[in-house]
Amino acid sequence: MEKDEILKFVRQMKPRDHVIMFHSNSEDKHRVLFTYLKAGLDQGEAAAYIASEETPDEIRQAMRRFGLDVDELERRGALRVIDWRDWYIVGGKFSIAETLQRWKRMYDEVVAKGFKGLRVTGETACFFRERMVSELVEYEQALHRVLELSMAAVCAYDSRLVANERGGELLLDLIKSHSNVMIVGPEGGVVKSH
Amino acid sequence: MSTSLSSQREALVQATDYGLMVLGETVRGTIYQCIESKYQLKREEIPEKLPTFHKALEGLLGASARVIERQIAKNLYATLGLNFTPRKDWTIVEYFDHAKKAKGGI
Repeated sequence: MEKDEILKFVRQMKPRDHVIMFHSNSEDKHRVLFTYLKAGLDQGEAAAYIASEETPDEIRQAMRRFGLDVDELERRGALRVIDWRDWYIVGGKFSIAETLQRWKRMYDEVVAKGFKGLRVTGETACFFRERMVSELVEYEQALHRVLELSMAAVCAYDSRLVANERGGELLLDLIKSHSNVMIVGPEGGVVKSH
Repeated sequence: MSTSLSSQREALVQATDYGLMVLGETVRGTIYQCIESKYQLKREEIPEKLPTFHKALEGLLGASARVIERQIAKNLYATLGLNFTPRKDWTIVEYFDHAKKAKGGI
């Protein structure tokens, strides 16, 4: 599959879609995730990016290079770039219930402001660094609860981290247990979609 | 017991079929189509052009390719009746070479 087809897939994602993405470098990650968020912003949705592989400022800079008017989008509340310590692992603790509540609150806020929906993405690297991979897997299973709301989600995994976890078994388990999986390689990629 | 090189090659093609099934039948078909159009490599030619297959998988799947290759190798070893030990730095090329030697195919 060519990269353009991957980009077409993320542009066409619908509310309640939950996709797990495996990427191998930052360039691919930026291109796919920013395309996905921009498609939502262009149709009147709000967007959120939880950063943990890079800092929020690095993400903002990369978004500007991609062509997003970050300052304007943030000013009118259409875009939020959030540090993982303020969203996932707060005060050294990760709570699935609280994280799901945060998503719900964010959704309610953007809808109250008049946005048509919400597209979110979260980098998962912090769970690997903090040795909270089991919690992450549990969270992935629970995420469908907030996806009853009109929001779409892409969870971004660095393939290099996942491939080394449990001798590669984690990657296989995640692929098997999720109906929407996207793997992006340097020369293309594949999409497993229900 | 030694096995012929042709049966080892057949076993590798089957192991590849099973290994790629983790991604589902549609994705497996996409991968075969893609490696044929981009790398001129047909499914049946994978054993003869294994380095090309490895390169194609890495191009498509990045770091995830290593895990899929390990899965293919695991299936291959099971079919050939060999004990499988995962090796961190081995690709499908090294696994197949090792299996061939172990079965006396070269």
